Amino acid sequence: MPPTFNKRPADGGGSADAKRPARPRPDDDDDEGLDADEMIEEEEDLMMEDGMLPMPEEDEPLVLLGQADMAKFEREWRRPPLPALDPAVDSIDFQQIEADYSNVPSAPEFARGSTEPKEAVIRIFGVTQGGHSVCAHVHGFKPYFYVRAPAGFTKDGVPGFKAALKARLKAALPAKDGQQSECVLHCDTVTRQSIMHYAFKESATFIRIVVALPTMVATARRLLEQGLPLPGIGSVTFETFESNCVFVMRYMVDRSIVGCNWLTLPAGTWRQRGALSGGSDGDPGGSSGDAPKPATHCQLEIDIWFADVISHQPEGEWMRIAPMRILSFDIECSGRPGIFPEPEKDAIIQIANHVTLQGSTQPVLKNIFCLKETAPISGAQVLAFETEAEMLRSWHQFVLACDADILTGYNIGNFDLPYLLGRAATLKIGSFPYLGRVKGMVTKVKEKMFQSKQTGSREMKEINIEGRVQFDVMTVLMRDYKLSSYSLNAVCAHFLGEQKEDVHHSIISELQAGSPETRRRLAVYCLKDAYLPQRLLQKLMCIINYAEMARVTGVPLSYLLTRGQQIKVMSQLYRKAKSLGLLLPVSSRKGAEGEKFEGATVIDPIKGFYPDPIATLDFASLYPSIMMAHNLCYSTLVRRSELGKLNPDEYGKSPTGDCFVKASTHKGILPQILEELLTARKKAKADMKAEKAKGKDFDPLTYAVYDGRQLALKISANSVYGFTGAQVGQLPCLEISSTVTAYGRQMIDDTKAQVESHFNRANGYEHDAIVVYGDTDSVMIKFGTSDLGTSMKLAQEAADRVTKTFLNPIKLEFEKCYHPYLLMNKKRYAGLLWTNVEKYDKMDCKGIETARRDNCQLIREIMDTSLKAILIHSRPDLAVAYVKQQISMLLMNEMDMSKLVITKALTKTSDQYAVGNKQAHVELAARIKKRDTNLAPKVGDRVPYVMIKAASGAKAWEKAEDPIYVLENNIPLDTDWYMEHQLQEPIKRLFEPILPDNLDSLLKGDHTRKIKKAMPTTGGLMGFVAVTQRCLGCKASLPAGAPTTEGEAALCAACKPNEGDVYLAKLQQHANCERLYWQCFVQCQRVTGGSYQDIIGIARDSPLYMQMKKAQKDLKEAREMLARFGV
Amino acid sequence: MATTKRIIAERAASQFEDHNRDIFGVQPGELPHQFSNLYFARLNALRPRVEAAAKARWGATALENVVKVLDAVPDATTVAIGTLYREMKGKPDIMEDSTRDVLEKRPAESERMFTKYCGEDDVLLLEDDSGRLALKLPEALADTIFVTGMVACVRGKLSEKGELVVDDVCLPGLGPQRPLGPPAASGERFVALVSGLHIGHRTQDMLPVQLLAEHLTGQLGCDEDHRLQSNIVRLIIAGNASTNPALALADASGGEWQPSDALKRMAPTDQKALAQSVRTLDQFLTAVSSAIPVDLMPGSDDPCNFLLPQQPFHTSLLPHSSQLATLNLCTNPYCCDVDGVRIVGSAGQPLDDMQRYVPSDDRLATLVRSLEFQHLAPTAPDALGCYPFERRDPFVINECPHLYFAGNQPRFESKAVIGPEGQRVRVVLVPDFAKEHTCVLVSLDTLECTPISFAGLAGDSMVM
Repeated sequence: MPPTFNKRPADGGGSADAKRPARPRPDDDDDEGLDADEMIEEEEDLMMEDGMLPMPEEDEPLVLLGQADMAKFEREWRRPPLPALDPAVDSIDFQQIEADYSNVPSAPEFARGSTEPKEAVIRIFGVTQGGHSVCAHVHGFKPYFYVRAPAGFTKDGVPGFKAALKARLKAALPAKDGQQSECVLHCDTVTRQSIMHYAFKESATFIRIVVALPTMVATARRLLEQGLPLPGIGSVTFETFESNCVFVMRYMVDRSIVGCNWLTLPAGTWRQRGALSGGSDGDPGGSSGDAPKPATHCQLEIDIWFADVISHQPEGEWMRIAPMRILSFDIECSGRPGIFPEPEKDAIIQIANHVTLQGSTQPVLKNIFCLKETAPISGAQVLAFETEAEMLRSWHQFVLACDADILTGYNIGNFDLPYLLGRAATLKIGSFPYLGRVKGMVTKVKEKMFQSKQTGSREMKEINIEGRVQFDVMTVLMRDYKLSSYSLNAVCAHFLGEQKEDVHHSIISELQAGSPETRRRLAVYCLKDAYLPQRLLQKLMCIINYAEMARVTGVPLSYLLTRGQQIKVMSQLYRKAKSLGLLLPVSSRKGAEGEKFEGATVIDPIKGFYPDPIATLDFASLYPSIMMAHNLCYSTLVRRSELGKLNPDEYGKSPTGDCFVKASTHKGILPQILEELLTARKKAKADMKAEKAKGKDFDPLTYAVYDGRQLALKISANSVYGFTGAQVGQLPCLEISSTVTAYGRQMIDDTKAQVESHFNRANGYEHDAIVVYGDTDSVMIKFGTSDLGTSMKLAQEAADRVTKTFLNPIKLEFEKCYHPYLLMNKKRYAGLLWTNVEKYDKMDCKGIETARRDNCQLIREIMDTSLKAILIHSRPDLAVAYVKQQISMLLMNEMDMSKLVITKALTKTSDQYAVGNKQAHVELAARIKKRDTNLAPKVGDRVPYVMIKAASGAKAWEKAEDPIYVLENNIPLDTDWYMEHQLQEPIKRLFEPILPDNLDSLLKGDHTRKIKKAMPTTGGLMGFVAVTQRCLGCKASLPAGAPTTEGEAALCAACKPNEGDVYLAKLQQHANCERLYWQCFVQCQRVTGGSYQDIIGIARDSPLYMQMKKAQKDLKEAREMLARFGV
Repeated sequence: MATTKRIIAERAASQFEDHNRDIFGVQPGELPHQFSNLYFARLNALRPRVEAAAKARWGATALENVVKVLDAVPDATTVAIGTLYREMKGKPDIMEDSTRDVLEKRPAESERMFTKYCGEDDVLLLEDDSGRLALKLPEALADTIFVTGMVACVRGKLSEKGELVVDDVCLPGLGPQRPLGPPAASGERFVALVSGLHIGHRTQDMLPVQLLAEHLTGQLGCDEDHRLQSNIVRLIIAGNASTNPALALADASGGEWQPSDALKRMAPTDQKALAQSVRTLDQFLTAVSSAIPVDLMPGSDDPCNFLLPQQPFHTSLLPHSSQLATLNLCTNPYCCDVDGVRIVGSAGQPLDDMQRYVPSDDRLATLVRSLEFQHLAPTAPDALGCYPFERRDPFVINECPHLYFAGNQPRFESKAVIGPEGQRVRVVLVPDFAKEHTCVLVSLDTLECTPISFAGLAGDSMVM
């Protein structure tokens, strides 16, 4: 498939976030946040040279170490054998998961009048309910697009137009495509409307142009846009329509096929291609002698005419998900000290694989390919090889034999797959880079930059594996979740609640060089790394949710991970427009960068701590409902010049001055799409409820599908608004998006006015209601009563009352009360959230440092604990005591350093940043690289650092340091920096409403007077300092000549009589160190997963690693100190 | 006319051999290392014993095909030797301090003793240096006490699911025991065991402690009593002689968060109270050990190191009593020979922890079980803090003791165990004195055991 990557607009830059023009935030925080900088769709030709590259000869048979038999393994890897099929009687149902096309010589049986030497055949890959893989070659569908006919153009002009275009196109095509005898197959006139602007029910004439191959669309479009000389008219420039719809998408739209739905190939319409490798032990010939040879590795390969394929909407029995084969794998490489493994030099030593079927939790297959003899592992096949080339060849054989539909793993797209391919190239294994289902298609790696607002900038590698979906868990997580670290370790800790081992490359080489047992140790670790992505997929229900998203939006599954957000809305627009006879123009509008429009409104917060309940009223799906209520759409937008043609009651004028016709005159297409989405969501939610009510027949899988669907519908509904506002978009229309926000602002202000004017003493209520805060789609109301129940009743009344004053379907809903409520600032508040009067649901915090990830853990903990003390325990005094104590610990150098670590994503290397714009984490990454290339963070990684004491006036970027380095060298931390830059502001904000008069006492009280600093062991003046022993009781220097025997060296003469008391205090410290040491190491041992295994791998970014290092050091020091007292 | 004849009771003498520091002493250089070494050392020490036991039980040929657990193949009888591991959902995160809601009230220290980690869906695994294997126990072994860290030999068949369907489990069993010497001619001799004195506890009634001291020093009772008292050759204080005021206070405050908690440092007032408690202990010990030899073991509340084995009290804490030759500062656990009677025991932490791994509340049975493991503290280091020893596992019980005790237990309990080779062991739960006001006498001749209560007033309520 032609991949699309977002190209960065000229000015764009991650750092420019603040300067970015105010883009309205669509709806609430669960929208998908459309990228402003998505690139315009363009048909990119990625076709293989020629469909039929011969597969390289098989290499000599593989030799396994040990007794195992390769052929036996291979039998176990395969899918269940395919039963014999009769094309006359059997119809085939399968769930499609991926589709692409190829230009191949036309098959005579499916030519049906075409004389073209080559045609574009769509390949649809899928899985049957029985778990068999299917590839359907769909013949006869032709690419086409539209242009607006010039004025006065009639049917009679068509032949002339066609001839002119054909002549031009033939000349412009590359030589190989020029051989096509007819590049323009067909032209005709059609009557349609453009989706842009209200058309007063008038239709226009368009020319539909059908070309021979999909790649010709873009060329033809360019020619038409540049101007085509027409006989009798002269040169005409054409506006093209739907010329950017990619070919496969076009087919799916026209045939009502949505991503991941079920297709039926009815009996009597299809022809099976010759026997497949999978069925080689069955009958060899297939049915018909003249059937072409299989072109793919699928078990069942079918040829069929495009119109014969039946598409099923995902309802009822067609809702299920086929048992797709999911292969999760992980590789281990040997490494050289200090260098990240390079495929040109460093060998792959193990490849672990887990194969599961979608819907089942038990793997069907677990195996590991190892270099050199490796001791067996119960429950997993171990395949050991003498040479790496043999191992790679057999893994390739495994991939083809197990025929996975979905490839997954952690960061496979950017590491494992490219490395495997690179390694195979180094070892010159010609047969290896054919991992796809299409025979003869070489799997290649392309370097891309992927930029999107969602994931930031990342170097990406694009790998083509036809017919299999690459579902990299890391990509999924980076798209869907905001985490402070995306290392597999951090992710597992977050979602699965368990730490994982992280074996450093240097140790990997040692284990590999050891015995079969040490290699088994490595294999067990490697298997776990292959298993974890699978567990994550299951836990997060990624496959189901993505399949539902594909169904709802209609795009193929793979688009969801490789493309931006816009294609999803486009797909829906194409479908809807087609059914209404509308055409989508190809946008030439690159929404001007300077064009700004006002975002959502915020009612100024009345800051404070509210012990009484605060009710929250929300507009449900605010932006979608505004678009529906006011009929906002491309097709309802009235050109200002044409306003005069309408009656004033036929249109509505928005607060921005843009006019849209009313639904009664012409119903917009966007409102229709939204209505359908929201209706479907309601239905999905009702279905969820119904499923749950089934009791013992409850099917958790069906429930999950419904849940995935309603989520996908919600996200889709919310993204429609963003689509219209995307500045570099497929079809931007700022009139719509600015109108939406303008209505939103008006509604919030209206609500405030209505609530305050009605719920007051004058109207007989007990108190005057006050709107204390409002933002985007919600208002917070203090009704004055201290009773939660009363407050809820009033809130419901208010919601109903206000809803009545707005157009349907805008609805103000009452869902929750905050009680108590702490309002700190705009978008910063916290409270206990109640939806019933019995028990609060949770503590809800917005915009507070508990969640922000560029803060250190300490401040998150302080905020979290303080809020708990204030809100849950109702003990502000405890919160104050706690904060003071934490500050004191920080200043006394007693804080666990892992809590002070800050992480920032490295988006570019230091030389890519402008000079003079030095950033702490970037400089640090460069410094680490100088120390040890091995540890250097790469672009896209998050860099952890702490701030250290430096010369006064040092810049922030000079103070950042690697936490482990700091620990190892006893470098003092810059506690003042932490106070000023991390703690001060958030603490002030939090406690301002609580201690309005006495705020300073928190940050400057007695507890800040005692300070302790670490003594660095290296650098600076330390080389010139002579260390003297100090009395452990009073810190007086002990005379240099004092007796050095232990027991005498602990105390000065004055303190000696109190030896017991001093000892007691030190003992306490020692006991704490001991406890921490034991806890850390036992915890690490648990992570390692075996009592007999030495702890070898704890991820450096894990807090545990730091604690372990610190515990080790502290205990050593405590023991040395205690030893001074003698035994 | 009767003349009052003053009887002078001479304290009976005894032979004493102290193994504490040899076995449980920690040399300054012995840190730091990882804990895997300890498991290896344990397996190495106990493997020959478990093999011998298995041969005795299953026949000489039973052990011809011992395999590593990951080499087990389905359908063949598999025999494997390794460490048991009980996977429990209820086992707390060991780093709980860092993840807990710090303001949440924590359970009182005194209740923690009764916390259970085990649950319905626990999985028992056998682990050796190749990996872990899930065990499916037969019905007959369902109620048997198995805790993490025991070395065992397991026989069974690997199922399709990859778990070992066990038919029998063999433990080392009771070790060899030295025969007891003949009873002393001078009459029956006793050792006294006491634990949990908590001297200096502010809220504590000091009278029972006073009575105990007077009893042991022969200042109480009639002549008959004195004769008996004089036959007590040794007092073993099995931990928690002093009071940690911080812990006591935390319990008193209902577990509410204190600013000092996170600092893990005692508030100055607590520091003073602890020092005071230790001084009072010093006085008590001075008084008692001038009349009778005393072995002082540290316990969980004492000012001592945290990890097992706990090292003896530092002499600077007991400036007066430590001058006396009759006060012996011991480690916890404890191992000594008194007149040839091998006495082994702990201040209770290992038993408390094992008890968290098993559903039953029968502490005595668990303690007996640990003798059969030949291990004092199998759950260390899994959930019980201990030193990461490198080459040895000091908690392995090399020689079957005659008297085996655990201190600071909720109630006095005792049982005589007879081993298959005629080993005789007296197993004793020594109660917490501050709560139960009871000390325990064990006869060195008969290994009979008698509790003495100091609950009531002097004399009349005293039971012997």
